[in-house]
Amino acid sequence: MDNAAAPPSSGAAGKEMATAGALPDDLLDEILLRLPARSILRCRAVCKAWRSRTSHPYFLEPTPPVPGKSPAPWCTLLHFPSPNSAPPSASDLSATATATRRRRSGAADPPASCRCRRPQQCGSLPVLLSSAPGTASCVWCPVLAPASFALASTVTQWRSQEFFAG
Amino acid sequence: MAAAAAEATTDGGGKMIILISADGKRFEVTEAVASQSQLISNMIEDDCTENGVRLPNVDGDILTMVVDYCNMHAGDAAAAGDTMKASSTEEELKKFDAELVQALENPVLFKLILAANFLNIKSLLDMTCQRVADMMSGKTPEQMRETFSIENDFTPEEEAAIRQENAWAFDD
Repeated sequence: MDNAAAPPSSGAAGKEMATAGALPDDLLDEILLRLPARSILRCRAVCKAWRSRTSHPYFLEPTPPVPGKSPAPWCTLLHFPSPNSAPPSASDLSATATATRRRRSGAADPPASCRCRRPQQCGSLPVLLSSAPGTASCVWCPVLAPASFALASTVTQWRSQEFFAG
Repeated sequence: MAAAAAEATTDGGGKMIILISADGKRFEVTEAVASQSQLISNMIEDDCTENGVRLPNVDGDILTMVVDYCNMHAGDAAAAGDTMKASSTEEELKKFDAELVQALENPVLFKLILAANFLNIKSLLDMTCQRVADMMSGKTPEQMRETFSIENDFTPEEEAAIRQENAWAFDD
């Protein structure tokens, strides 16, 4: 059992720490990880401290979100508008055409139904494949992943111009 | 704020604990209420609450809110003997929580986050961090700086380059 006398690193509450800019890093993470992808990217333009925190490997982590912990932010890489089209497997997403990541404003984070799916590795990029019943299938990538990566030609026939310019 | 002896007991039989804020204010609460703080719960297990628990990181006005919150939520933690507190329904709790965080000015909200973190009260930390996230959501970088009194330490060129990286996120 920890002895209670030792305050944690972020326990300096008595000092003048009244702004979000002065929050300790671990608490700033607590807040940032609750934000949708769009807001995270906007936070990166607020100040250097926030940019530095959102560059933390956690935001690129290729592991599934932990229950009870906010998921790392993902955004749509590819979108398959037909409700019944199956998403490609990660091995389909390997070579040839280069995709530029795009997302339509207002698009949602991965639905809860795909959060439990294990991210797959596509080259150096972790991707999540979602196919919730009755909804469009999507390929998701971490919000801070490199802006482009390679796609197999078998996949490009499904690409939707709205989300994707290649 | 009562300055009763730390060994005093309630009619419910629960032991009372005195919490002492940074500015010397004293709060008498039951063990069940105080145990919602993992920090204090550990101290209770280690038997080091006899002379009151000093919280040098938490001001009296913030501790007042924390104690109110813990009193309200003591029912969650199965303090079945305490009929007075057990009577708050889930709906009342939600209303209480919403009113608690929504009324707060930013500096107070951040102090409450720091206190919840220090005292290790997970539900209060979740609630207050979510409140800040809700305030950030949908705001432009300028609006966030304004809301949270943050200085822009980027040069105009740097900021333009950052916006360019993910231009879609900055469309309205």
